[in-house]
Amino acid sequence: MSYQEFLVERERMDALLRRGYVIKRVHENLSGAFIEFALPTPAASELKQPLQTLHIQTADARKYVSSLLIQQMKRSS
Amino acid sequence: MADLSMNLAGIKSPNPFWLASAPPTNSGYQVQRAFEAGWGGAVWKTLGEPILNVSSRFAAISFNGQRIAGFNNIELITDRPLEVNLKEIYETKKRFPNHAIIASLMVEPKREKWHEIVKRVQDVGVDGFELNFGCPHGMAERGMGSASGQVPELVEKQTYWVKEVAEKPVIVKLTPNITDITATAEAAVQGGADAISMINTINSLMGVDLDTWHIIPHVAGKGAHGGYCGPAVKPIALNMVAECARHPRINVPISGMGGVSSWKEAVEFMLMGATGVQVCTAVMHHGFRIIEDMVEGLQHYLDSKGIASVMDLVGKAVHRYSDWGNLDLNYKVAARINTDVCINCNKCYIACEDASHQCIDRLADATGREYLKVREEDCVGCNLCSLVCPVDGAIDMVELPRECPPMTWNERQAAISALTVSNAEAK
Amino acid sequence: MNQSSFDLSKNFQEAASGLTQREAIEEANRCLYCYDAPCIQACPTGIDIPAFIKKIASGNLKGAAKTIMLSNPVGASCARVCPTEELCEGACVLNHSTKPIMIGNLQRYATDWAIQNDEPLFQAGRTNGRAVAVVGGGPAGLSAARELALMGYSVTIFEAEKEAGGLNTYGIVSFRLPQRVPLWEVHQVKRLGVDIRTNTKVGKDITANEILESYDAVVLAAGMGTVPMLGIEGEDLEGVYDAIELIKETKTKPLTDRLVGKKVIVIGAGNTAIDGATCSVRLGAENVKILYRRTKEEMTAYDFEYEFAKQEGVEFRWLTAPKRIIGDEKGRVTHIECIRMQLGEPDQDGRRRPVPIEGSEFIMQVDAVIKAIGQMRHLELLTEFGLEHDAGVVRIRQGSYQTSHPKIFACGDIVFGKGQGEAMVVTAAQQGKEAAYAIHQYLEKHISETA
Repeated sequence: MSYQEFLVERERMDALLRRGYVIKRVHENLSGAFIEFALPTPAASELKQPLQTLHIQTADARKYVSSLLIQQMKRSS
Repeated sequence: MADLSMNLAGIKSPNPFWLASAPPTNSGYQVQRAFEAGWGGAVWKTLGEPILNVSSRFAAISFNGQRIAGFNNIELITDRPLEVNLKEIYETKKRFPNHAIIASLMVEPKREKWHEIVKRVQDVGVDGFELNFGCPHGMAERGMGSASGQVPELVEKQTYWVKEVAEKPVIVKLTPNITDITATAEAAVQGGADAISMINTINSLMGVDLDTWHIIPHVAGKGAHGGYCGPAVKPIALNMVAECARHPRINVPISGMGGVSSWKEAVEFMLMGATGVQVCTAVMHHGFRIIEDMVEGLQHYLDSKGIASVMDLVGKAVHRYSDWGNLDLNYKVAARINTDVCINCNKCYIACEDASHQCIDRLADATGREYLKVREEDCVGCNLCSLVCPVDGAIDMVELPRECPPMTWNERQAAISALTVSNAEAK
Repeated sequence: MNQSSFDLSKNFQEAASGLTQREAIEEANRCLYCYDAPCIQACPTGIDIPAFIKKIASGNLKGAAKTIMLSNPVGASCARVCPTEELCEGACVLNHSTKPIMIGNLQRYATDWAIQNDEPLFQAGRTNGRAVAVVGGGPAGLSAARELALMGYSVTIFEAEKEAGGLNTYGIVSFRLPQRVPLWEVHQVKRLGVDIRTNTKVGKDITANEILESYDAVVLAAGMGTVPMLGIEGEDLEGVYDAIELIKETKTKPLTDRLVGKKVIVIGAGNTAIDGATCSVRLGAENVKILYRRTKEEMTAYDFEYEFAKQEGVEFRWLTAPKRIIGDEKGRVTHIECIRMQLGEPDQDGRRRPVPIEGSEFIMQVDAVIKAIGQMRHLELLTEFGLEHDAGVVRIRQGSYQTSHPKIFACGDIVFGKGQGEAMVVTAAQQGKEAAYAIHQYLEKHISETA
């Protein structure tokens, strides 16, 4: 898996974060990581897609998302 | 000048280099020659009921023309009566009172046998005992050596028996032919060992002769497994020393051995928790005279680092040895090729292309001169290119700027499971 | 007499001893086994050098010999006579860090093993029903024949001498290249079913037309001839020799003692001049001087040959040309008159032309004069085949070795000169291979067109 693929996956996650999504759930299996992003505020849930699941395959992106999760948990605690 | 003198569980020696219990410590003649050459201590060739040896006993691995990268033997413990060895130990100790003489012992796993030999040997004035629970061949078939050293209860019990009568420090020598050496190390500590030493030799079959199909070495056409040692085993030995050193319940000094060939390996073993080292194969290869460089090299190293005593090295790198789960997943290095130094052998290119991540490009500059370049974004920092590179300084592994804060696997897993728990609570 | 000829024969044994097994393995293990190695690029025959060295290291000597001989059918000779420091060893990457691998010596080690064990290394290809004649059994001809035999051609070599091998067999001194080495290479080619008709001179024993009628194609690899005349007075005196003839004599007849204690002058500074000079030293000459009308810089001998000659005690007189050879009343050489030269303007091949310095003549006392100023062209042979040429250098189509006669392909020294080709044994071997491929391509095309 190339660096380019990582950049694409990272951007997909970053884009959701920019729109206010947070990591809701991380599920990992033989196919990689499935990351569920959700909108935390009720107002935002009026949007069409309150839940978004991304299938993350590259190793670097799976590292990246766990770093994001740790930061997110630090912020909320 | 740094102080090289060493103290292992009360056994003192002028420097941390001991000869391991092996052919070089078979007799008073040899041990006295060794002390004259400058060795700090010697573990006498294992005493016990005199055995019978076979003819044709050693074999070695040459790697790409380099002799004795690994070595094995099927020789047993001493073949001389106890009285003869004791007389020579006595004479040697008298001539060299400040050098350490440790008696290696091996008897059947019976209390009275251990009591008898310990009492007889300590009467001649040895500085300590080393219980040979490690020898993998011959003796093991008779329930001794590694056969008893592989069973933690037997290690504990025999150590205890020895400690009942020993007036000198007792070192328990462990076999590496076991899945987890800390299990037997802990048993030795439970039994009252004052120190542990490792590693004894590793079960090995050195080779098969391509023309005769004989086992190497063979005895009248037949072979048996031997004990493997020498430079090739150092990483295995170093890991075992380090695993014991960082184990919270193994709190006795460690005498390290296995592939120590120069002062450099001695420093490594000591940094990883060994109080002094034992040496055999390097002496079998080159003779006792190698001690001069070992002592001098160690002295110069300590002086250059401003370290006052060799004992200050002991265990200084142990805290850096951890489990994989505690390593930082966000730390990143990448290879960088210095084209000024590179000689264009393309070894790194083909290694990366065929065996790693295909991130080295072969390019040519405006003048048509070929050069190699790493695509850093695709480099996983595996080190392979720098390992195969034949020229010092041609490939550097450089630390890349951090993109994310440090995160270990354990922290990552903890965060993911915490998220799962909080989701469940929310419901 | 017996004693001295015994001593002389010792002088003609191979000077450099081969590597011992231990030396070879240590050296082989020092090879980095480069990927896409520059030494392969630097070898005119493209031997996969790291591969054969790896095989030496692993003990696969037969495999090492096969790798060498597959790319170079005269690889055992080349191991000894190639200017390795200008080719493979010069390209070794270790020149930039430690010291280059002794590729030539390792190549000799592997091929010596093959010679001693005399195992067949290759098998002829399945016969394709086509026949090719090769004129000349030297490096280029042998190489072409070997390659054609591997492809299934029925090959006949017409060789004027008693044995094939060309200059390797007759023209390079034994202490550099013993005759058994090229003769083993010849034997390897014979083993593939190649018919080598020795003592058969084209134009005398068989006509060009007979060959052209009986074969589908012809490889013309007849090399060059004897040393030309100096064109000065006294050249027919007793004691004036042709260097190539002199060397040939040492390889075919009992060693002569007629140079023992004599003063010898060699004229010329090419590979053969060096061989003629060192050969004279080893024949017992008291003093050997090489006269060259240009300087060391223009000399065509390789550096290692020059060094070897100096070690042998040969003296060099640069910017000196012979003017006249003087004899006594019995017609024997006694003196040589020389003239000093200076370098003038560059001539058409870029080398500065030597110009005599007027009035600088001087006379030296000598007992023998050896001519080594190049070789003559086989003009009669070219006429016999009716080929276009430039002063004896056969014209070939760029990249195909095809001559003005479509069925005839030429390679080796016969196409060397006038800015075309190289004179090394190893390039002759490569040209032989390429001429064979060109013939194969030509015949394939020819047959598909006529079908």
